[in-house]
Amino acid sequence: MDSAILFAAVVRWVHILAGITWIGLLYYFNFVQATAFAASPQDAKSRQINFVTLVPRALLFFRWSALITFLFGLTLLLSYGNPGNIIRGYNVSSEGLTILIGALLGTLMMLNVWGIIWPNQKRMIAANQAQLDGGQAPPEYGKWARRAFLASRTNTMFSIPMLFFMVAAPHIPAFAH
Amino acid sequence: MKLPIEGMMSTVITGLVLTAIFALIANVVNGGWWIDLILVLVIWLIMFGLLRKPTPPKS
Repeated sequence: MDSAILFAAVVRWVHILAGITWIGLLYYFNFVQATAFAASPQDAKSRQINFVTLVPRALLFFRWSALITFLFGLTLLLSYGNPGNIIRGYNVSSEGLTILIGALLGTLMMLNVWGIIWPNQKRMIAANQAQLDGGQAPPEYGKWARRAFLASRTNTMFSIPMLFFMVAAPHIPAFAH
Repeated sequence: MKLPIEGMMSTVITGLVLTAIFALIANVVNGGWWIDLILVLVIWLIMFGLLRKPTPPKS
């Protein structure tokens, strides 16, 4: 097999694998964890324990899979038009332009993860740990939670057109002409 | 005012509506891809406007 074809195939595979991990965890946070934490009858201490044990582990995979998805996607984007890449180039083909919309959505989502969600969640984890150690919740806690929530929900909303445009390019005839 | 992204189902519905709008623009309008790219950036900037004043929703 041609090394360029093998390279593009491996990069695409890692991009999709990391992307599934990222979006899977995004949907877990938004559709499972948020509602489960709100609905569970547990006391504040149990919730704090969950926040310092479960959330950091999930966020570890979440943020790094977001970055890996972005970096491998960028590698694919830069190799458009090269041998082994099925997309002919965003500047010369409609499928390239279609994927570019998905790529912009994905890039903004990655920036939301590293620039807003993770910094605010990190502060919230530290605040929960401090409360478990006998301290008080800082007054900014609600602000941090709200920011992380809005950015996370924006990502959930963006993920729907992002996945459509990523998949539409090679598979929907109306976009791949 | 409650935002469309406050609720779980309304977030999904907003995402589906956005997908339909972007797809329609890309297919129907000449140069619609570039309009889509600008719209995505505008929506992202609106999110930053919301983050500057992160008022909790009224219960």
